[in-house]
Amino acid sequence: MLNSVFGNIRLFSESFTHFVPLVFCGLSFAIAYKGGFFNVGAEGQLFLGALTATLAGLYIQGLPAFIHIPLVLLAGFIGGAFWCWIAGILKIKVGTNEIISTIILSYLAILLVEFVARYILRPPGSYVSSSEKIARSAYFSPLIAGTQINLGLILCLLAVVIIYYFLFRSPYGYQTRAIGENPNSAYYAGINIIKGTMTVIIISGGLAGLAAACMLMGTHRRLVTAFSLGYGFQGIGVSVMARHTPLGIILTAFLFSLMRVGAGAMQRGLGVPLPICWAIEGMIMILITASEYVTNKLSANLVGGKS
Amino acid sequence: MEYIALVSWLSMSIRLSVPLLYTAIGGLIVMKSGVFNLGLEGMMLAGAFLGFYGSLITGDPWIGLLLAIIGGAIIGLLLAYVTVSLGGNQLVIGLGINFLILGLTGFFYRVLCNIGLLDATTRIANFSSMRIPFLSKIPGLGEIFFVHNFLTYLSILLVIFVSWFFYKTTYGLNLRSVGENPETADASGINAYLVRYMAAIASGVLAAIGGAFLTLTQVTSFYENMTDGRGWVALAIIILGKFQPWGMLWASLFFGAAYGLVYQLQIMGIKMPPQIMSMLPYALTIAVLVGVVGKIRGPSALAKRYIKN
Repeated sequence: MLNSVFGNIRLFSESFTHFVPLVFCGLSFAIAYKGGFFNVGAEGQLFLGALTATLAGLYIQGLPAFIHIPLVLLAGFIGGAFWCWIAGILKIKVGTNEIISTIILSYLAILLVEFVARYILRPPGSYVSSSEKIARSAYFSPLIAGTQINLGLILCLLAVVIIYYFLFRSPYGYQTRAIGENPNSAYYAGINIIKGTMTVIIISGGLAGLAAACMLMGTHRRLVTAFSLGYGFQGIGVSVMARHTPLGIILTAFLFSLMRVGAGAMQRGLGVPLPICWAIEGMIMILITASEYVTNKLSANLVGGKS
Repeated sequence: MEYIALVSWLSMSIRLSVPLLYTAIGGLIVMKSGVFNLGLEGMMLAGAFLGFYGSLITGDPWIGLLLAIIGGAIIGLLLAYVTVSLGGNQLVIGLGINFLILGLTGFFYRVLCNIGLLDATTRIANFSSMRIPFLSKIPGLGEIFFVHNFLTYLSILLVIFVSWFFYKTTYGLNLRSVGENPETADASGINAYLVRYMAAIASGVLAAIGGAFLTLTQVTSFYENMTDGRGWVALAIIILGKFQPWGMLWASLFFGAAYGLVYQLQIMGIKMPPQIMSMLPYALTIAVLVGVVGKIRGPSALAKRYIKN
């Protein structure tokens, strides 16, 4: 597995096609988690972002790249944010549990994209169920020739820095974390809970949408039915393993992307399939949850002087 | 024609509601004890796979059901150990269980295919429908209500039993009090840890039976991720049923009817994209969540960590 990951530069660069969406989806889960909103529907937000980004890429023609690319990114952000906003408004207005609503909205979005790609955007006469290619001005070109490393990598690292600054160095982030820790005391401290939660929800959904826009412009270049093979769900594992810290997400997303490339290579070479990736992610999440006990106990003993 | 379609739809609705009902009752029991079980989907999938596997290897659906029950109990035990004994985050562990089971069942399914034990056309031995004497002869109603397999009839008994257990027995009262306030329950001499362990194991077993119902009665084959969100719909059923067993029976019939409508329209040859039809149960779930939630109060200590001092 390691041999195939590091063995040649082409496979190594392939890991970055997984790395970019995983970082965005990990950040999406982490920021919502810090704000007390358990957004497990990044997968669906990614799909809806893919839909809106494709529309912007297909129907806006004749723009220079430096205007078109931000427009597609914005469209993806809006699509993902809108899908998450639905779950958020349901939670705030009628008290719907966001875990159920985000995951059910995910199933809806996946089916919706499949329907649109198959019946609406498919060019007449084509047998492949996908849309036409987006305009050439919205393509990410490789930063290093012959590899998959493109603008998406810079954007996702930029997102890490911005989210880190937002969460830990700005008053908004302080408010967000206060709401996530204890909404009642945040309320008595005079924080506008609804506004703070909504901000986090929109950023969280938007980040998943940005993942879609980067995948669209960097790799797929068209709306396909199985647009994301579970990046949204793996983002949860990425975030949990990084303990929801933006800088940690870079490391864990890299680990997960190596695992995905390795699993792909193993599948080709030895017949070891992708489900192993899911099993490892599940195991990591269970073990991290269990290990919280040990760390809590250790720190309690140290602080309490009971060791 | 319309009459036959109506009878087959209603009969199918009942059949499709049963796995949802088992899983939802399992979820209810553990949620009443104060543990949020997000692993229902994974437990169901494990039950579906183990039921399939047992029946495939031995040719006996009872062995399959037994394997599913054992598997569900083990996963329930894992949930209880991490959330109760280690005080871990209940939401994260539930998601972790889902991913773990999704991966393991997918992997072992492919292994079974690779070593040539099965292919896409393999069908396994399953539980057949029982015709209740006399009652199944009633025109219409007989076909709808009295030609089902024993697990369907058992699910009604389960609802009766659980509602009796919760509201008429001391054990049920203890379980509910742990879910409302574990500190007080512990102070009054109830072993809150033990109650939560038992509830989590029961929940794993019931969700696994719900999953095994899919492979051992309906589809008689297995495919990757075959539960396809039914575990999450079961969570919605708990909420729509207002945390009451009888309410959940009606709620699962409602969702069973929605799933049944999807199949029935396909059988009748209605020309509609399958994706749009498959959206129906999920869209209904959202509509239901918008319509009823807010007025419903779950157990107070739900999803809160409790560490005994």
